[in-house]
Amino acid sequence: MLTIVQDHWSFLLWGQFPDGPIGGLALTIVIAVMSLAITFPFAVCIALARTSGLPMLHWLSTGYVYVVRGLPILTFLLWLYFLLPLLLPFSITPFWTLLAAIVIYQSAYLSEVIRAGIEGLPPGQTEAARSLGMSWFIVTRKVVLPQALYDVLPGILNQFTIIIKESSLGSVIALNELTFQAAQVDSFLVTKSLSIYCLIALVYFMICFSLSYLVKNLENRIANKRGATLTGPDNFGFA
Amino acid sequence: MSDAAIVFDQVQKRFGDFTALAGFSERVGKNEVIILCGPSGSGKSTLVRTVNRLETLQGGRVLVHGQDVAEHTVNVDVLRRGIGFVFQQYNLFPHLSAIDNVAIGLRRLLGQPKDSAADQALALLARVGLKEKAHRRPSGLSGGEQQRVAIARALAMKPTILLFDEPTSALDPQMAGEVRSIISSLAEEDMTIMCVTHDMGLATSMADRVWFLEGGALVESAAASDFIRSENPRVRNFLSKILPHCR
Repeated sequence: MLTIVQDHWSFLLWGQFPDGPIGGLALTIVIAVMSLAITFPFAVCIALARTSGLPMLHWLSTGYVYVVRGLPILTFLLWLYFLLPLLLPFSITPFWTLLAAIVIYQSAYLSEVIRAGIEGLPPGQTEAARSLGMSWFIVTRKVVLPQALYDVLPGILNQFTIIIKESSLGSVIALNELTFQAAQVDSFLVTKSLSIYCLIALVYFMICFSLSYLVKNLENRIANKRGATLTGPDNFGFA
Repeated sequence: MSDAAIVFDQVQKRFGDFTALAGFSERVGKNEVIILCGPSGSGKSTLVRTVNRLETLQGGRVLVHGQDVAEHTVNVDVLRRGIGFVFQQYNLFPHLSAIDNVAIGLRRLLGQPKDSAADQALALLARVGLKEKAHRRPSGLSGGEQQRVAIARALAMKPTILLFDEPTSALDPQMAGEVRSIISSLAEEDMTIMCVTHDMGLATSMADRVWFLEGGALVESAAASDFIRSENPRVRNFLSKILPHCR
Protein backbone atom coordinates (compact mmCIF):
# COMPACT_ATOMS: atom_id res chain seq x y z
CA MET A 1 0.00 0.00 0.00
CA LEU A 2 2.90 2.31 0.85
CA THR A 3 4.48 1.59 -2.52
CA ILE A 4 1.30 2.69 -4.25
CA VAL A 5 1.33 5.93 -2.30
CA GLN A 6 5.04 6.48 -3.01
CA ASP A 7 4.65 5.82 -6.75
CA HIS A 8 1.36 7.63 -7.32
CA TRP A 9 0.99 10.11 -4.48
CA SER A 10 1.07 13.13 -6.71
CA PHE A 11 -1.62 11.71 -8.97
CA LEU A 12 -3.79 10.52 -6.08
CA LEU A 13 -3.28 13.36 -3.66
CA TRP A 14 -2.27 16.88 -4.62
CA GLY A 15 -1.29 16.68 -8.31
CA GLN A 16 0.75 19.41 -9.95
CA PHE A 17 -1.70 22.15 -8.97
CA PRO A 18 -1.40 25.08 -9.75
CA ASP A 19 1.16 24.23 -12.47
CA GLY A 20 -0.68 21.15 -13.73
CA PRO A 21 -3.72 18.95 -13.16
CA ILE A 22 -5.05 18.87 -9.63
CA GLY A 23 -4.75 15.58 -7.73
CA GLY A 24 -7.60 13.31 -6.67
CA LEU A 25 -7.65 14.09 -2.97
CA ALA A 26 -7.26 17.83 -3.54
CA LEU A 27 -10.18 17.87 -5.97
CA THR A 28 -12.29 15.81 -3.59
CA ILE A 29 -11.61 18.37 -0.84
CA VAL A 30 -12.42 21.25 -3.19
CA ILE A 31 -15.73 19.61 -4.20
CA ALA A 32 -16.59 18.82 -0.58
CA VAL A 33 -15.81 22.30 0.73
CA MET A 34 -17.67 24.05 -2.09
CA SER A 35 -20.63 21.69 -1.79
CA LEU A 36 -20.85 22.26 1.96
CA ALA A 37 -20.50 26.02 1.58
CA ILE A 38 -23.27 26.25 -1.02
CA THR A 39 -25.56 23.52 0.33
CA PHE A 40 -25.80 24.87 3.88
CA PRO A 41 -27.36 28.29 3.13
CA PHE A 42 -29.63 26.71 0.52
CA ALA A 43 -30.79 24.13 3.04
CA VAL A 44 -31.46 26.82 5.67
CA CYS A 45 -33.55 28.77 3.14
CA ILE A 46 -35.55 25.68 2.15
CA ALA A 47 -36.14 24.77 5.80
CA LEU A 48 -37.31 28.32 6.52
CA ALA A 49 -39.58 28.23 3.47
CA ARG A 50 -41.11 24.95 4.67
CA THR A 51 -41.76 26.36 8.12
CA SER A 52 -42.69 29.87 7.01
CA GLY A 53 -46.44 29.36 6.98
CA LEU A 54 -46.64 31.12 3.60
CA PRO A 55 -48.57 28.68 1.39
CA MET A 56 -46.70 29.37 -1.84
CA LEU A 57 -43.24 29.02 -0.26
CA HIS A 58 -44.36 26.01 1.74
CA TRP A 59 -45.69 24.10 -1.25
CA LEU A 60 -42.75 24.96 -3.49
CA SER A 61 -40.18 23.89 -0.91
CA THR A 62 -42.15 20.79 0.05
CA GLY A 63 -42.48 19.79 -3.60
CA TYR A 64 -38.74 20.29 -4.08
CA VAL A 65 -37.90 18.09 -1.10
CA TYR A 66 -40.32 15.34 -2.14
CA VAL A 67 -39.09 15.24 -5.75
CA VAL A 68 -35.41 15.15 -4.79
CA ARG A 69 -36.02 12.59 -2.06
CA GLY A 70 -37.67 10.30 -4.59
CA LEU A 71 -34.61 10.06 -6.82
CA PRO A 72 -31.33 8.20 -6.32
CA ILE A 73 -28.43 10.65 -6.48
CA LEU A 74 -26.61 8.63 -9.15
CA THR A 75 -29.66 8.79 -11.43
CA PHE A 76 -29.97 12.47 -10.65
CA LEU A 77 -26.30 13.11 -11.46
CA LEU A 78 -26.50 11.29 -14.79
CA TRP A 79 -29.74 13.09 -15.60
CA LEU A 80 -28.08 16.46 -14.94
CA TYR A 81 -24.99 15.37 -16.86
CA PHE A 82 -27.05 14.82 -20.00
CA LEU A 83 -29.66 17.53 -19.43
CA LEU A 84 -27.57 20.56 -18.50
CA PRO A 85 -25.65 20.76 -21.83
CA LEU A 86 -29.05 20.85 -23.59
CA LEU A 87 -30.42 23.60 -21.36
CA LEU A 88 -27.41 25.85 -21.02
CA PRO A 89 -26.00 27.99 -23.82
CA PHE A 90 -22.44 27.21 -22.69
CA SER A 91 -20.61 23.96 -22.02
CA ILE A 92 -20.54 22.73 -18.45
CA THR A 93 -17.72 20.68 -17.00
CA PRO A 94 -18.20 17.49 -14.97
CA PHE A 95 -16.97 19.46 -11.92
CA TRP A 96 -19.88 21.90 -12.04
CA THR A 97 -22.32 19.13 -12.93
CA LEU A 98 -21.32 17.17 -9.83
CA LEU A 99 -21.40 20.28 -7.68
CA ALA A 100 -24.90 21.14 -8.92
CA ALA A 101 -26.08 17.57 -8.30
CA ILE A 102 -24.75 17.47 -4.75
CA VAL A 103 -26.04 20.92 -3.87
CA ILE A 104 -29.54 20.32 -5.26
CA TYR A 105 -29.74 16.84 -3.77
CA GLN A 106 -28.24 17.49 -0.35
CA SER A 107 -30.03 20.82 0.14
CA ALA A 108 -33.25 18.82 0.29
CA TYR A 109 -31.93 16.35 2.85
CA LEU A 110 -30.09 18.90 4.97
CA SER A 111 -33.15 21.16 4.95
CA GLU A 112 -35.17 18.37 6.54
CA VAL A 113 -32.61 18.06 9.34
CA ILE A 114 -32.75 21.82 9.93
CA ARG A 115 -36.55 21.86 9.70
CA ALA A 116 -36.67 19.26 12.47
CA GLY A 117 -34.57 21.60 14.61
CA ILE A 118 -36.83 24.57 13.89
CA GLU A 119 -40.04 22.66 14.54
CA GLY A 120 -38.56 21.07 17.65
CA LEU A 121 -38.20 24.44 19.38
CA PRO A 122 -40.89 25.17 21.97
CA PRO A 123 -43.47 27.52 20.39
CA GLY A 124 -43.04 29.80 23.40
CA GLN A 125 -39.65 30.86 22.07
CA THR A 126 -41.12 32.36 18.92
CA GLU A 127 -44.07 33.80 20.84
CA ALA A 128 -41.77 35.50 23.35
CA ALA A 129 -39.70 37.01 20.56
CA ARG A 130 -42.74 38.13 18.58
CA SER A 131 -44.35 39.62 21.67
CA LEU A 132 -41.28 41.83 22.09
CA GLY A 133 -42.04 43.21 18.64
CA MET A 134 -39.38 41.38 16.67
CA SER A 135 -39.89 40.91 12.95
CA TRP A 136 -39.83 37.45 11.40
CA PHE A 137 -36.28 38.09 10.20
CA ILE A 138 -34.92 39.04 13.63
CA VAL A 139 -36.78 36.18 15.31
CA THR A 140 -35.28 33.77 12.80
CA ARG A 141 -31.75 35.13 12.98
CA LYS A 142 -31.46 35.81 16.70
CA VAL A 143 -33.78 33.31 18.35
CA VAL A 144 -34.77 30.41 16.10
CA LEU A 145 -31.68 29.53 14.07
CA PRO A 146 -29.07 29.81 16.86
CA GLN A 147 -31.05 27.28 18.88
CA ALA A 148 -32.33 25.07 16.06
CA LEU A 149 -28.97 24.67 14.32
CA TYR A 150 -27.24 23.85 17.58
CA ASP A 151 -29.88 21.28 18.46
CA VAL A 152 -29.42 19.44 15.17
CA LEU A 153 -25.65 19.76 14.90
CA PRO A 154 -25.14 15.95 14.91
CA GLY A 155 -27.64 15.60 12.04
CA ILE A 156 -25.93 18.39 10.11
CA LEU A 157 -22.56 16.69 10.61
CA ASN A 158 -24.07 13.46 9.33
CA GLN A 159 -25.17 15.17 6.11
CA PHE A 160 -21.76 16.83 5.76
CA THR A 161 -19.98 13.48 5.84
CA ILE A 162 -22.47 12.12 3.29
CA ILE A 163 -21.67 15.09 1.03
CA ILE A 164 -17.95 14.28 1.22
CA LYS A 165 -18.57 10.66 0.34
CA GLU A 166 -20.96 11.57 -2.47
CA SER A 167 -18.15 13.49 -4.17
CA SER A 168 -16.89 10.03 -5.19
CA LEU A 169 -19.79 9.87 -7.67
CA GLY A 170 -17.75 12.22 -9.83
CA SER A 171 -15.92 9.10 -11.01
CA VAL A 172 -18.94 8.05 -13.13
CA ILE A 173 -18.81 11.28 -15.13
CA ALA A 174 -15.00 11.15 -15.54
CA LEU A 175 -14.22 13.80 -12.97
CA ASN A 176 -10.68 13.20 -11.72
CA GLU A 177 -11.49 13.23 -8.01
CA LEU A 178 -10.04 10.70 -5.58
CA THR A 179 -12.10 7.64 -6.54
CA PHE A 180 -11.66 8.28 -10.27
CA GLN A 181 -7.90 8.68 -9.84
CA ALA A 182 -7.80 5.49 -7.80
CA ALA A 183 -9.59 3.67 -10.61
CA GLN A 184 -6.99 5.05 -13.02
CA VAL A 185 -4.14 3.77 -10.82
CA ASP A 186 -5.97 0.46 -10.49
CA SER A 187 -6.24 0.04 -14.24
CA PHE A 188 -2.54 0.89 -14.53
CA LEU A 189 -1.36 -1.54 -11.85
CA VAL A 190 -4.04 -4.18 -12.64
CA THR A 191 -3.30 -6.55 -9.70
CA LYS A 192 -3.45 -4.14 -6.74
CA SER A 193 -7.19 -3.38 -6.68
CA LEU A 194 -7.80 -4.36 -3.07
CA SER A 195 -4.84 -2.34 -1.78
CA ILE A 196 -5.80 0.71 -3.82
CA TYR A 197 -9.40 0.73 -2.67
CA CYS A 198 -8.37 0.04 0.94
CA LEU A 199 -6.12 3.07 0.70
CA ILE A 200 -8.93 5.18 -0.74
CA ALA A 201 -11.31 3.99 2.00
CA LEU A 202 -8.71 4.99 4.58
CA VAL A 203 -8.41 8.48 3.07
CA TYR A 204 -12.21 9.00 3.04
CA PHE A 205 -12.39 7.74 6.60
CA MET A 206 -9.69 10.15 7.73
CA ILE A 207 -11.43 13.12 6.11
CA CYS A 208 -14.82 12.25 7.58
CA PHE A 209 -13.35 11.40 10.98
CA SER A 210 -11.47 14.72 11.06
CA LEU A 211 -14.67 16.55 10.22
CA SER A 212 -16.56 14.65 12.94
CA TYR A 213 -13.80 15.55 15.39
CA LEU A 214 -13.90 19.21 14.41
CA VAL A 215 -17.68 19.40 14.71
CA LYS A 216 -17.58 17.58 18.06
CA ASN A 217 -15.09 20.18 19.31
CA LEU A 218 -17.33 22.94 17.99
CA GLU A 219 -20.32 21.36 19.74
CA ASN A 220 -18.38 21.19 23.02
CA ARG A 221 -17.24 24.80 22.68
CA ILE A 222 -20.81 25.98 22.09
CA ALA A 223 -22.06 23.84 24.96
CA ASN A 224 -19.42 25.34 27.27
CA LYS A 225 -20.27 28.81 26.06
CA ARG A 226 -23.93 28.09 26.74
CA GLY A 227 -23.19 26.78 30.21
CA ALA A 228 -25.12 28.22 33.08
CA THR A 229 -22.65 30.95 34.00
CA LEU A 230 -20.52 33.06 31.76
CA THR A 231 -17.61 34.98 33.12
CA GLY A 232 -15.44 37.67 31.64
CA PRO A 233 -16.11 40.71 29.56
CA ASP A 234 -17.16 38.90 26.38
CA ASN A 235 -20.40 37.50 27.70
CA PHE A 236 -22.49 40.38 26.44
CA GLY A 237 -23.02 40.54 22.77
CA PHE A 238 -25.09 37.56 21.69
CA ALA A 239 -28.12 39.83 21.63
CA MET B 1 -63.65 55.32 24.88
CA SER B 2 -60.88 57.89 24.64
CA ASP B 3 -59.47 57.19 28.13
CA ALA B 4 -59.58 53.44 27.70
CA ALA B 5 -56.23 51.73 27.19
CA ILE B 6 -57.83 48.53 25.94
CA VAL B 7 -61.33 47.92 24.62
CA PHE B 8 -62.71 44.46 23.95
CA ASP B 9 -65.68 44.70 21.64
CA GLN B 10 -67.69 41.51 21.02
CA VAL B 11 -64.47 39.47 20.88
CA GLN B 12 -64.96 35.95 19.60
CA LYS B 13 -62.39 33.20 19.46
CA ARG B 14 -62.86 29.50 18.76
CA PHE B 15 -60.38 26.65 18.66
CA GLY B 16 -62.16 24.08 16.50
CA ASP B 17 -65.45 23.33 18.25
CA PHE B 18 -64.32 24.93 21.49
CA THR B 19 -65.43 28.50 22.11
CA ALA B 20 -62.73 30.30 24.07
CA LEU B 21 -64.29 33.77 23.89
CA ALA B 22 -67.98 34.22 23.23
CA GLY B 23 -68.50 37.85 22.28
CA PHE B 24 -66.49 39.30 25.16
CA SER B 25 -66.92 43.04 25.71
CA GLU B 26 -65.21 45.15 28.36
CA ARG B 27 -62.77 48.00 28.66
CA VAL B 28 -59.63 48.63 30.64
CA GLY B 29 -58.88 52.19 31.69
CA LYS B 30 -55.47 53.79 31.43
CA ASN B 31 -53.20 52.68 34.31
CA GLU B 32 -55.91 50.33 35.53
CA VAL B 33 -54.85 46.99 36.99
CA ILE B 34 -57.12 44.11 36.05
CA ILE B 35 -56.83 40.63 37.46
CA LEU B 36 -58.46 37.87 35.41
CA CYS B 37 -59.48 34.67 37.06
CA GLY B 38 -61.78 31.79 36.36
CA PRO B 39 -61.69 28.05 35.82
CA SER B 40 -59.42 26.41 33.25
CA GLY B 41 -60.66 26.93 29.70
CA SER B 42 -62.63 30.03 30.64
CA GLY B 43 -60.75 32.13 28.06
CA LYS B 44 -58.57 34.25 30.38
CA SER B 45 -55.26 33.54 28.67
CA THR B 46 -56.81 33.75 25.23
CA LEU B 47 -58.23 37.14 26.11
CA VAL B 48 -54.89 38.66 27.13
CA ARG B 49 -53.24 37.10 24.08
CA THR B 50 -55.67 38.94 21.81
CA VAL B 51 -54.34 42.27 23.10
CA ASN B 52 -50.99 41.95 21.35
CA ARG B 53 -52.41 39.82 18.53
CA LEU B 54 -50.84 36.55 19.62
CA GLU B 55 -54.33 35.25 18.88
CA THR B 56 -56.36 36.26 15.85
CA LEU B 57 -60.08 36.80 16.26
CA GLN B 58 -63.04 35.19 14.56
CA GLY B 59 -65.24 38.13 15.42
CA GLY B 60 -65.29 41.47 17.19
CA ARG B 61 -62.30 43.70 17.73
CA VAL B 62 -59.70 44.69 20.26
CA LEU B 63 -58.68 48.33 20.48
CA VAL B 64 -55.39 49.33 22.10
CA HIS B 65 -55.19 53.08 22.71
CA GLY B 66 -58.05 53.40 20.25
CA GLN B 67 -56.33 51.42 17.52
CA ASP B 68 -57.85 48.17 16.23
CA VAL B 69 -55.02 45.65 16.58
CA ALA B 70 -56.32 43.58 13.67
CA GLU B 71 -56.29 46.48 11.20
CA HIS B 72 -54.04 45.79 8.24
CA THR B 73 -52.58 49.27 8.57
CA VAL B 74 -51.34 48.50 12.08
CA ASN B 75 -47.71 47.42 12.23
CA VAL B 76 -48.04 44.57 14.68
CA ASP B 77 -44.32 44.60 15.54
CA VAL B 78 -44.51 48.26 16.58
CA LEU B 79 -47.76 47.62 18.46
CA ARG B 80 -46.16 44.78 20.42
CA ARG B 81 -43.20 46.92 21.47
CA GLY B 82 -45.59 48.97 23.61
CA ILE B 83 -47.16 45.88 25.20
CA GLY B 84 -45.05 43.79 27.51
CA PHE B 85 -45.99 40.13 27.87
CA VAL B 86 -44.86 37.79 30.64
CA PHE B 87 -45.56 34.11 30.11
CA GLN B 88 -46.32 31.37 32.60
CA GLN B 89 -43.31 29.35 31.44
CA TYR B 90 -41.01 32.42 31.29
CA ASN B 91 -39.92 31.64 27.70
CA LEU B 92 -36.47 33.10 28.17
CA PHE B 93 -34.06 32.51 25.29
CA PRO B 94 -31.84 29.72 26.63
CA HIS B 95 -28.86 30.53 24.40
CA LEU B 96 -28.62 34.04 25.83
CA SER B 97 -27.52 35.18 29.27
CA ALA B 98 -29.98 37.06 31.50
CA ILE B 99 -28.53 40.41 30.45
CA ASP B 100 -28.74 39.50 26.77
CA ASN B 101 -32.32 38.34 27.20
CA VAL B 102 -33.17 41.78 28.54
CA ALA B 103 -31.00 43.69 26.07
CA ILE B 104 -32.03 41.91 22.89
CA GLY B 105 -35.02 44.18 22.31
CA LEU B 106 -33.02 47.31 23.05
CA ARG B 107 -30.28 46.26 20.65
CA ARG B 108 -32.25 44.75 17.80
CA LEU B 109 -35.48 46.73 17.91
CA LEU B 110 -34.50 50.12 19.25
CA GLY B 111 -31.02 50.02 17.70
CA GLN B 112 -29.28 51.06 20.89
CA PRO B 113 -25.49 50.78 21.07
CA LYS B 114 -24.16 47.73 22.86
CA ASP B 115 -22.88 49.58 25.95
CA SER B 116 -26.02 51.62 26.44
CA ALA B 117 -28.24 48.55 26.03
CA ALA B 118 -26.06 46.64 28.51
CA ASP B 119 -26.30 49.46 31.07
CA GLN B 120 -30.08 49.63 30.75
CA ALA B 121 -30.44 45.86 30.91
CA LEU B 122 -28.28 45.76 34.02
CA ALA B 123 -30.37 48.49 35.64
CA LEU B 124 -33.54 46.52 34.90
CA LEU B 125 -32.01 43.35 36.32
CA ALA B 126 -31.00 45.32 39.43
CA ARG B 127 -34.61 46.45 39.73
CA VAL B 128 -35.78 42.83 39.87
CA GLY B 129 -32.92 41.94 42.23
CA LEU B 130 -30.80 39.99 39.78
CA LYS B 131 -27.84 42.25 39.05
CA GLU B 132 -25.39 39.69 40.42
CA LYS B 133 -26.79 36.99 38.17
CA ALA B 134 -26.85 39.08 35.00
CA HIS B 135 -24.39 36.86 33.19
CA ARG B 136 -26.04 33.57 33.97
CA ARG B 137 -27.92 31.56 31.40
CA PRO B 138 -31.56 30.75 32.15
CA SER B 139 -30.50 27.17 32.93
CA GLY B 140 -28.49 28.54 35.85
CA LEU B 141 -31.42 30.44 37.35
CA SER B 142 -34.30 29.26 39.52
CA GLY B 143 -37.87 29.47 38.22
CA GLY B 144 -38.54 32.62 40.21
CA GLU B 145 -35.35 34.23 38.94
CA GLN B 146 -36.22 33.30 35.36
CA GLN B 147 -39.63 34.91 35.78
CA ARG B 148 -37.99 38.04 37.16
CA VAL B 149 -35.69 38.18 34.12
CA ALA B 150 -38.78 37.75 31.92
CA ILE B 151 -40.38 40.74 33.68
CA ALA B 152 -37.20 42.79 33.17
CA ARG B 153 -37.21 41.77 29.50
CA ALA B 154 -40.81 42.91 29.13
CA LEU B 155 -40.03 46.21 30.87
CA ALA B 156 -37.02 46.90 28.66
CA MET B 157 -39.21 48.16 25.84
CA LYS B 158 -40.86 50.66 28.22
CA PRO B 159 -44.37 49.33 27.57
CA THR B 160 -47.49 51.24 28.53
CA ILE B 161 -49.40 47.98 28.89
CA LEU B 162 -48.17 44.86 30.68
CA LEU B 163 -49.81 41.48 30.26
CA PHE B 164 -49.13 38.59 32.62
CA ASP B 165 -50.29 35.07 31.90
CA GLU B 166 -50.25 33.15 35.18
CA PRO B 167 -46.85 34.55 36.20
CA THR B 168 -46.65 32.74 39.54
CA SER B 169 -48.46 29.48 38.88
CA ALA B 170 -45.34 27.53 37.88
CA LEU B 171 -43.46 28.67 40.99
CA ASP B 172 -43.22 27.40 44.53
CA PRO B 173 -44.64 29.70 47.26
CA GLN B 174 -41.32 31.37 48.07
CA MET B 175 -40.46 32.10 44.44
CA ALA B 176 -44.05 33.17 43.77
CA GLY B 177 -43.70 35.65 46.63
CA GLU B 178 -40.60 37.20 45.04
CA VAL B 179 -42.38 37.60 41.70
CA ARG B 180 -45.58 38.82 43.35
CA SER B 181 -43.79 41.67 45.11
CA ILE B 182 -42.24 42.83 41.83
CA ILE B 183 -45.56 42.72 40.00
CA SER B 184 -47.25 44.58 42.87
CA SER B 185 -44.58 47.29 42.68
CA LEU B 186 -45.23 47.67 38.96
CA ALA B 187 -48.91 48.24 39.69
CA GLU B 188 -47.90 51.42 41.54
CA GLU B 189 -46.50 52.87 38.34
CA ASP B 190 -48.22 54.46 35.37
CA MET B 191 -48.93 51.25 33.60
CA THR B 192 -52.00 49.39 32.46
CA ILE B 193 -51.81 45.81 33.68
CA MET B 194 -53.84 42.73 32.86
CA CYS B 195 -52.83 39.70 34.85
CA VAL B 196 -54.25 36.20 34.59
CA THR B 197 -53.83 34.51 37.94
CA HIS B 198 -55.49 32.37 40.57
CA ASP B 199 -53.30 34.04 43.16
CA MET B 200 -55.85 35.95 45.24
CA GLY B 201 -53.02 37.43 47.30
CA LEU B 202 -51.76 39.11 44.16
CA ALA B 203 -55.29 40.13 43.21
CA THR B 204 -56.09 41.81 46.52
CA SER B 205 -52.71 43.53 46.73
CA MET B 206 -52.77 45.22 43.36
CA ALA B 207 -56.04 44.90 41.45
CA ASP B 208 -58.33 47.78 40.68
CA ARG B 209 -60.83 45.27 39.38
CA VAL B 210 -61.07 41.51 39.22
CA TRP B 211 -62.74 39.92 36.22
CA PHE B 212 -64.19 36.48 36.63
CA LEU B 213 -64.57 34.63 33.34
CA GLU B 214 -66.41 31.42 32.59
CA GLY B 215 -67.19 29.89 29.20
CA GLY B 216 -65.48 32.76 27.41
CA ALA B 217 -67.75 35.38 28.93
CA LEU B 218 -67.46 37.85 31.80
CA VAL B 219 -69.43 36.64 34.80
CA GLU B 220 -68.35 39.23 37.36
CA SER B 221 -66.31 42.40 37.43
CA ALA B 222 -65.66 43.85 40.87
CA ALA B 223 -63.10 45.54 43.07
CA ALA B 224 -60.78 42.96 44.64
CA SER B 225 -62.22 43.41 48.14
CA ASP B 226 -65.78 43.05 46.80
CA PHE B 227 -64.85 40.12 44.61
CA ILE B 228 -63.83 37.82 47.43
CA ARG B 229 -67.16 38.60 49.13
CA SER B 230 -69.16 38.11 45.95
CA GLU B 231 -72.53 36.41 46.31
CA ASN B 232 -72.48 35.10 42.74
CA PRO B 233 -72.71 31.29 43.12
CA ARG B 234 -70.25 30.64 40.27
CA VAL B 235 -67.72 32.98 41.83
CA ARG B 236 -68.34 31.43 45.29
CA ASN B 237 -67.84 27.98 43.82
CA PHE B 238 -64.58 29.05 42.18
CA LEU B 239 -63.28 30.81 45.28
CA SER B 240 -64.14 27.87 47.50
CA LYS B 241 -61.75 25.76 45.43
CA ILE B 242 -58.81 28.14 45.65
CA LEU B 243 -59.54 29.70 49.04
CA PRO B 244 -60.77 26.99 51.43
CA HIS B 245 -61.99 29.54 53.99
CA CYS B 246 -64.50 30.86 51.41
CA ARG B 247 -66.51 27.62 51.51
